[in-house]
Amino acid sequence: MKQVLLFALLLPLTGLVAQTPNQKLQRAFKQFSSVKSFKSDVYIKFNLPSVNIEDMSGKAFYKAPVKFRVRLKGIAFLPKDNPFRVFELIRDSSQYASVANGVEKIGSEQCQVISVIPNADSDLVFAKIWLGEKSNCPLKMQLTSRSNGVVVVENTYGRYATKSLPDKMRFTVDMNKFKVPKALTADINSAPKKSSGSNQKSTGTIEFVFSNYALNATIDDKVFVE
Amino acid sequence: MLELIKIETFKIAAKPRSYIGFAAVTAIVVLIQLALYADGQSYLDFLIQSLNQTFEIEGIGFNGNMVGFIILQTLIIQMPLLVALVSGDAISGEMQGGTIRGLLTKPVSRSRILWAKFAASELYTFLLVLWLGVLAWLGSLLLFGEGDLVVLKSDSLVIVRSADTAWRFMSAFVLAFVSLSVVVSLSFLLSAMSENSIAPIIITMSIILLFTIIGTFDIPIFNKIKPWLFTTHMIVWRNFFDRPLPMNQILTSLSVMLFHIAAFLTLTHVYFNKKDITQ
Repeated sequence: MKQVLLFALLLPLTGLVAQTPNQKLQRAFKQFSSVKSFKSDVYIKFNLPSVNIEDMSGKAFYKAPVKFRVRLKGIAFLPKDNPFRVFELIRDSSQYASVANGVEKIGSEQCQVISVIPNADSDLVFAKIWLGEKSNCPLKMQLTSRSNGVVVVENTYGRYATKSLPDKMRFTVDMNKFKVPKALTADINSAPKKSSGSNQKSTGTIEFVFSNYALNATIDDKVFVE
Repeated sequence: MLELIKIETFKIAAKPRSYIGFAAVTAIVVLIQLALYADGQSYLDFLIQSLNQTFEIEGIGFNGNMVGFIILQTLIIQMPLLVALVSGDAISGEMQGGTIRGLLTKPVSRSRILWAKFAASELYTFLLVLWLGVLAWLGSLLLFGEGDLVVLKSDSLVIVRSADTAWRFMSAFVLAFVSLSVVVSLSFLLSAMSENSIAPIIITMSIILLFTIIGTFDIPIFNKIKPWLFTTHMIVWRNFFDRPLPMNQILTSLSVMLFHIAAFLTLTHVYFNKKDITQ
């Protein structure tokens, strides 16, 4: 009798522990969904092979469900992918299929690795999300889209972890080698750099450091227009 | 001395060929500005298309700084010819015209005449570079407006912030002037050696052409010679648009160019003072 009672008491708990990938994603979305909009300062660090560009500061704007824009003064190389698009994807569990891919540790936090495949024929064809078991935040995302290829986003959380708003967001992108004929650049007499191999691809990183978040502020849609 | 420089400057101003340089600079600059005004954005898009596939490039557009830089790097290749037209004629022109004997009968030393001619040629070069700066850079800023500068290299690009461009352009113009002074002093030496006014101009251009060709080829034996050729260092002005500033390279190139100027002028001085002028 005691055993039956114990089993009956523990049964709901096992349900909680062994959540399906969909449930985990829904939980992550729910955590982020309290953010209807935000604006923040953003400091951008570039580490791009063949592009010599100074770090710069600007403002970041987000408006639910999926509008995101960084406003800067001057030339900047920004990732084409909207890092908050993944929340739009996982919002409705009927719109995707998810598969658990095991557990990995990122920093000090244990993460559930979940693959997400959208059902609809969208630009984003595949996403792999490393979801923190404690924080419930996506610590890493690998986004594969038709237009932009594969982009890896690594997030670091701090004060706004409870709302899944990162302090740092680091994008890793594949880059083709930059090559312009010398005749067009008048770059005569410059010594050619020794190539490390025939590989024409290299990777670059762009890091967003967010600060001074203003949550759920009113943001004019004009900000997101080109 | 000042009087002598004035006279030599007047001589340069009196020759129609002296205006070819200004006319050529004006024509080329205006032509490039008009072409870029009409189709500059598509030219830029073509150059950065491989980056456009990967990135959302914010704030990129044609502006005065970019146009000024493009004109500068295009024209700086032709500028030696324009200055050699004047400096190559400075002494040999007087030889060919037969006026040198009359000039040397004046109670002024040969050295003073030589230095006055060199100073006048340098003044001409300075004015030409200044005209290029006003037209190409300031003119483009007026026409296209300010903005960040994209410096294109064959295998990379450098973004220079708009606020950071003025001193770089000014320094580049100063270095371009020093580069052209090497050409002036070389053609001046050849002018002292020649009795024909066309020969020094053609020889100067041939030397520059030869050295530039050597500099363009990536052949091991040429690579050993390149650091000793003044043409290798004449494009050092571009380094002012690099980040971080390659100061060692700039100073090395500046030293090499100043050494060439000093060597050419010393040779000219020695040769001209010993020259037996019979014509």
